[in-house]
Amino acid sequence: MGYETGMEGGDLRRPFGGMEGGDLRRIDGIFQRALEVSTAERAAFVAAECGGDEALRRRVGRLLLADAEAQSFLERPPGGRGVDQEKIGDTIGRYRLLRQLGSGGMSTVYLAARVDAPERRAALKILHRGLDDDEVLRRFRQERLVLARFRHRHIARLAGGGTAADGRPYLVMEYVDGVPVDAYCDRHRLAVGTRLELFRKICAAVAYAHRHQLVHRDLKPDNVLVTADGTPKLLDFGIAKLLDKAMIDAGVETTREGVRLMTPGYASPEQVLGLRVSPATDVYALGVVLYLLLTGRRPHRGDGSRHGLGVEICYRKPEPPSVAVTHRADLPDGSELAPRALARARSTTPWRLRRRLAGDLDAIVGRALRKPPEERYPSASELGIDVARHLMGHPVRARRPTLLYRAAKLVRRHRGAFAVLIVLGLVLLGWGVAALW
Amino acid sequence: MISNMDGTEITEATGGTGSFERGDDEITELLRRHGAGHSETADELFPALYGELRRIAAACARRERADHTLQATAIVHEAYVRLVEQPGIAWQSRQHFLGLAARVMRRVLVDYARERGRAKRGGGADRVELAEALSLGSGGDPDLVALDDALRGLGAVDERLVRVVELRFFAGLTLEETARHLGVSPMTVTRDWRRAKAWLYEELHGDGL
Repeated sequence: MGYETGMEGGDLRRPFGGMEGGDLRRIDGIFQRALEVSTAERAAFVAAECGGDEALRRRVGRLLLADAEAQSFLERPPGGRGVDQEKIGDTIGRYRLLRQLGSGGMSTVYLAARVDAPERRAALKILHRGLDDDEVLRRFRQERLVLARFRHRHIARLAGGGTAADGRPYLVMEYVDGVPVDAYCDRHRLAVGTRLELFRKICAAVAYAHRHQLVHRDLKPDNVLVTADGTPKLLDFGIAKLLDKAMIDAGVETTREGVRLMTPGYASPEQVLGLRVSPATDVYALGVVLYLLLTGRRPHRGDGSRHGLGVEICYRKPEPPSVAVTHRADLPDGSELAPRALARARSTTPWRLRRRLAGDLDAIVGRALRKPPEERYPSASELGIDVARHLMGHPVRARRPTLLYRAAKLVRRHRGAFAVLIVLGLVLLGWGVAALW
Repeated sequence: MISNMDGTEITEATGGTGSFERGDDEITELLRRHGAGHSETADELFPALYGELRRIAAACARRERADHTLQATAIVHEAYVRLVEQPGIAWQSRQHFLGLAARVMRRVLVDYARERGRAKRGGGADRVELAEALSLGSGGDPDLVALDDALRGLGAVDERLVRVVELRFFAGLTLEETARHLGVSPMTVTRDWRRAKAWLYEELHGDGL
């Protein structure tokens, strides 16, 4: 058996379980129609179409599973060496590639230097093969023009882009020499207040983008770097959308695959479910980042499977930060984080940390992480403003404005004045009492 | 040019470079005749193109640096530029070339993959070299022999799916080009491509239907 049987392969295993054309076409018909149905209704649809034929249902199910897994299958031409055809030292546009900074499912990022001015560095992001259809390229250029007008201190600038010799589009971005925001905070043992100040700047940058009708869609610490001088910089603004579009144009359904693109741990319920993405989606992701900065872990960990995590994101209410910090965190890398170490990284004690988080911060994080988008802060700027209110001792919007809460805030804000008042009151009282005598 | 039609043998180039003119002209002429409505030329075109594509591949393999492997689609592209982007070639011929080249490329690559498997058990060193230069079977390429078998089975599901895979995967055509070539809408190609991938993936990597 094997090669000797030649082209016709008489005794080779027949493809597709040796089924006949009629059966195959029947399976294909249901499979094809199932793809047009939304992911949520698919199982019911297939069951109905198969009308009790268990074997048929299972076969269609296998194809649907294969469809979900086959995203990158056959997308690279045969004989290619690897995902990236480009090498260190190659020139793309006006840039020479110096070293690889990272590689994801859709693109590879390089540190690059201008050929005519080698001291000028940039990050060059080039799309993988299979996403370079004419229409995608056209939209890609159009979006690039929008992004190029973006100017914000805390957003890495898009410097340009183009099409490589082999037709793949690339983007040139400001190179940010920094550390992911969570690592930065822990390394410098920043206290909760300092972390919140940093977080506010991040919110302001996201809010700027929202004012320009651009949603990030993939906010996570790896996309929020902090430079040596403590300046936060957001990366990849609009890139997720470009890639999403490229995926849609490449014929990939975004309801499920759109999520596959992004880091599942930071996905919002609407992204998991394939619903509309809005500024509230970024508010959710900011909520996850804030949760991480405060508690050293993400609000949802799941059971290790993508499905489990998705279900948790959509249906389980996260533990309030003040509760989370009282027990150990299982980190994604398999290590554990004890409450004491967690508090130390925030220059405080476990007891103080819990007290610091209880109340306002629990409420702010909880509001940002609400499942229905319309129940969250309507924008990143609202979230940032609420954090600022908390820092200044004003009542936060995330909490119900009970009289007691507002009074407590008022008192704490004007401690000195109230102390004087109380002393004055006591003096008056004492005076009155003395007079009565 | 036409005088080269006197039966120039198209065999694989085992050495030498830059001597493609004779074969080129012959194929170009066949394409021209095909465009003019001589459909019988299709039978002659297949073996002619087969030899041509292998020859380009061999020439590329020698020319390229060792660390720079070549791609199947680049070979088809080179053949296209050499044979088709010439004055006097009708639009239909260009379209026809792509469909044919895709099918031929599939055969070329699958044959290489087979030879490589056979040669691993002894003999045929230079052919293996070529397959190595194409870096078949490495870096995440699917098992081309298995893919070829699966493709033959896919014909029973829907013949057009096979064409779409040949054009998209083996010839490296874009979605739009594939649609134009098959005379269907890009939406249809998108759906076909997705269906084909699921079927083939299931056959190659699934638990069996």
